[in-house]
Amino acid sequence: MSKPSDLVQGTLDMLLLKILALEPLNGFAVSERLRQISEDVLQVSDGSLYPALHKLEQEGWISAEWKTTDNNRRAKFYSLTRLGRRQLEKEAENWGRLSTAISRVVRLKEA
Amino acid sequence: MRPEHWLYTIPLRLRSLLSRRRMDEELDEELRYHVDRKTEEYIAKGMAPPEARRAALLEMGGVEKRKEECRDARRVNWLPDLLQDLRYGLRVLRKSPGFTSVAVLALALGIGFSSIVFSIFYNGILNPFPYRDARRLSVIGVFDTQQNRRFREVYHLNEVAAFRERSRTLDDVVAYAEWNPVYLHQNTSEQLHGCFLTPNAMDFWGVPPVLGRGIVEQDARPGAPPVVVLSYAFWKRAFNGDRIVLGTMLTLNKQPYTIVGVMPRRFLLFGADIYVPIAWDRPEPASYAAALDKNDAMYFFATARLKSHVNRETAAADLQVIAKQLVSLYPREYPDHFKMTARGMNEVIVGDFKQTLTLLIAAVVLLLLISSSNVASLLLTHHTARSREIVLRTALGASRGRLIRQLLVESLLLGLAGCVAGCLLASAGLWALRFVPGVGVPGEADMSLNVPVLFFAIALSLLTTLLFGLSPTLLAVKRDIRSNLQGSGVNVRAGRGGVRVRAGLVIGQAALSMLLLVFAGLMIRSFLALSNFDPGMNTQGLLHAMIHFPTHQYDSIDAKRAFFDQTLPRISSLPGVTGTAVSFWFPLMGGPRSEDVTIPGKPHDKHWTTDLDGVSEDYFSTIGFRLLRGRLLSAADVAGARRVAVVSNKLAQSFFGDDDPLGRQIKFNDFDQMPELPHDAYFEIVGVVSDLKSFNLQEPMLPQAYIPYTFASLQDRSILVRSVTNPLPLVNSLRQVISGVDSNVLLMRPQTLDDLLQRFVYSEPKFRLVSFSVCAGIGLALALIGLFGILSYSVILQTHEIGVRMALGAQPGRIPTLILGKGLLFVGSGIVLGLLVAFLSVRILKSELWGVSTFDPWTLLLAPIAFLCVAFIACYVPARRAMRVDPMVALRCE
Repeated sequence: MSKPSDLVQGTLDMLLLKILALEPLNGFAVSERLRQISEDVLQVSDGSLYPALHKLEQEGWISAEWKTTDNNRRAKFYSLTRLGRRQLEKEAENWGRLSTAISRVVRLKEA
Repeated sequence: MRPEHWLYTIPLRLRSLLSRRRMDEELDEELRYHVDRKTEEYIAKGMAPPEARRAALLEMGGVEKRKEECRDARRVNWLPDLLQDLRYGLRVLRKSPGFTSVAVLALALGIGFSSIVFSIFYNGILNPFPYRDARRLSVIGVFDTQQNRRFREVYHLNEVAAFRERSRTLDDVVAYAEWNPVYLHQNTSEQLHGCFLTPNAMDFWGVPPVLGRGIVEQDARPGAPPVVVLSYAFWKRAFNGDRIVLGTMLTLNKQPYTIVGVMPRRFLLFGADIYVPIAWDRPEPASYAAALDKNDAMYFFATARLKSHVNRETAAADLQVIAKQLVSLYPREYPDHFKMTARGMNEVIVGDFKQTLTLLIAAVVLLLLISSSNVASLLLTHHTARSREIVLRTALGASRGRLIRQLLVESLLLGLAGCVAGCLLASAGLWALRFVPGVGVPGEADMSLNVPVLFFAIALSLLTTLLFGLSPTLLAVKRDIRSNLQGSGVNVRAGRGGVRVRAGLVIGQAALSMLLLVFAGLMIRSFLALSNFDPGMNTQGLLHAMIHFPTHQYDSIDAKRAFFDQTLPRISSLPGVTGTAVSFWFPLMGGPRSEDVTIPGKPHDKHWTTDLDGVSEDYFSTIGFRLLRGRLLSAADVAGARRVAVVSNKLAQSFFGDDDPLGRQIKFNDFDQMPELPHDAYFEIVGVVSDLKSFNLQEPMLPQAYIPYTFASLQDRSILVRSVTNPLPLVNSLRQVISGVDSNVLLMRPQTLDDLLQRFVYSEPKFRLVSFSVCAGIGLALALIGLFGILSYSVILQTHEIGVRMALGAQPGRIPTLILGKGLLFVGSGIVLGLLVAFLSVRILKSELWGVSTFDPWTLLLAPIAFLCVAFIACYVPARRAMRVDPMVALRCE
């Protein structure tokens, strides 16, 4: 499976959960949103997006629903579940700790 | 995981599993939507529509592959996948029936045959008895260290009681003896095969009865009512297995015995019909005849259970001390120099057969090796031929794990089919074993399939299948996809490494089966030598039967003689009968024996042991002895009970050397020790006759002496009848003749000498012959299958090369030579290797062979030739196929 190499393992899940926490979106919209928010820094290939979404769905963190889009086509919309919200909190907290720790290390002045 | 989590996920999994098609449709639609939107986006950016679509698809990176990844995310995908793999695997196996059936057959033979042999070994040798702590049971024996032979394994009851009381190494000792009473029921009488048991016996053997109770201490108290315990077989035969027999009476030797119990089927101690208690401290009978009279026995077998952690040597040393004390009590029962022995019960009963089975196990291990290497090489061939398919599937997006799983399922299917077939073969084989004569395992042995062994064989086979089923997959998967797709259908270069492994396997198989073939060849030669075995007489048409006299009626020798004088002429006048005679025991079985003889003028230090028989005058003509010197016994000798003897050539040579034995005196010293026999009786040697061979081929032939049967009145007698046809139909007429003379006299255990010869001489060699030949045959067949497989495969590999050669003008005749040469190279190396191993290992067969040297030139010559001939056929078929290669087709198939 091709995971984007510049994403830390497991962070893709957290990003997707966070995006879906804001509003229910379909797969295409998720990829768009990800690019917009990160200002093209985080490029998740379309290929790895869907397996990741399906995995989150099977974990019970997000649920899917077929809805009509604004241009009148049927698309699968994902939204966060209660379990997913809890998972997001946990991962965000972990991430916060990790990134603080890493940035502390990175900011160390060389002797 | 938390239960709350399950609440969410279980319905999801169920949905994935049950509405698979709808999920797939939804997945399609979802991805299509994405690609459509993306395309629209690119078009909006100014791309041409087809180009935009292509860019969108590229970004997705292979729609089918993504779909598969999404399906994998469902977690339950393995189940439908597995079903698919199973279906596909079955189809693959069905599509190559040759490969499948051969592989299954190889597996089945390996599993089945090894399970059978190991089951025999375990049930027959290691654990044949149903008795408690059977491993600690030992038979007590007296060994003559001077003559280096077993002296006796029977004792006076007092001796056994002494062993039991004074020993510190034995847990308990049991004594049992033969007692064959006449069983009277509804006006017919029948002699039963019975057994006296000391009252501790039932506790000793530790086998609970199936019905009623066993013999207990109280049964042997003075004045206790007589009781009897039945064997299972007798209970079935005489009472149809009826439960109401308990408490009823059995009339034995005209005395009533109460039936108190029935032993289970596997309790076959002594092979007896009935068991009767005997007290440890009963007064010792004065003589053998007195013992018979009083429903008692003189000599008892003694079996001991060693205390745990006591080995046989320690127990024997302990017994030695006790036996030394007993010598003064029974001086003639012990040789001058002796040691006591405690032999394991298995060893006593199974004896020489153990060696045969150990060898057979070695043969079967070889067979198992051949069979699994065969399966390995078949799988290698099969999978290499499929490497293109595997590569293609990788290219189409199959993941490595998925491919491995697929091949694993296929191998497993093959292995399971082999296991089922192997189990069937094993149980069929064990069932068929009942009909093989001469399997010298104890009757108690329960010849059921040994389940742990079966599992072991199955595990080994599955391991082989899986290991070799997977290894080519790993290679194929690792290989660069592009080079394989560019290469030909079967990549020659890629196949080379595999060929080397397979060549090694084929050579190994050939060597192993060559070894088995040499062994089997030696067994066959040995058997041929045996069928020329000359017992020293013509056994055809000769019948032997015991004559049982009722107690007290035929005590005097005159009464016995009167009986035979009336009976023998009537038997002789039966149609087809050409001769009849009286004797003590079977000829060839070494009947009564005198441990030492006295010959005036021939002093000797060592014991001069001789076989002895009391016979009527017609004995010599009935058996067919050749008279070498002097004369035979005359009617007057027998009628007058004259002290004359006819001796065998062997006796004359061993005791008299070059002297003339005629007219010399001989005394059989053992007579002096038995009250019923004439003491200080010297017999004059009147003739020398040809030798008889002993049925026990391992034992040297003893000197033999024949004296008039009227020399003593002791014991029952037997008769020999020779007829021109099969004598068995005569038995009824014989019975009529005998009951015509006296209805109280019984004809017992009639058997033909041919049957005895079969049972005692031929059965074991025949078993060896059959089992080793089967092993060698199967091994040979497997090796040939392997050879055939690799040659066929190399023809496939070389189709291209052959095509090019033929196109360049090679003579068609040269092509098969190429293939044949290769095949014969394999076979040749295998034969050389096999012969080498045979030369080194053939020594272990020595004790199994009779009348043939271990380096039998015929076997060592014929076995390789036979192997070459069959191997030629295995090479020829692929070679012909190579010859028929059409160069155009061969070149076009690129």
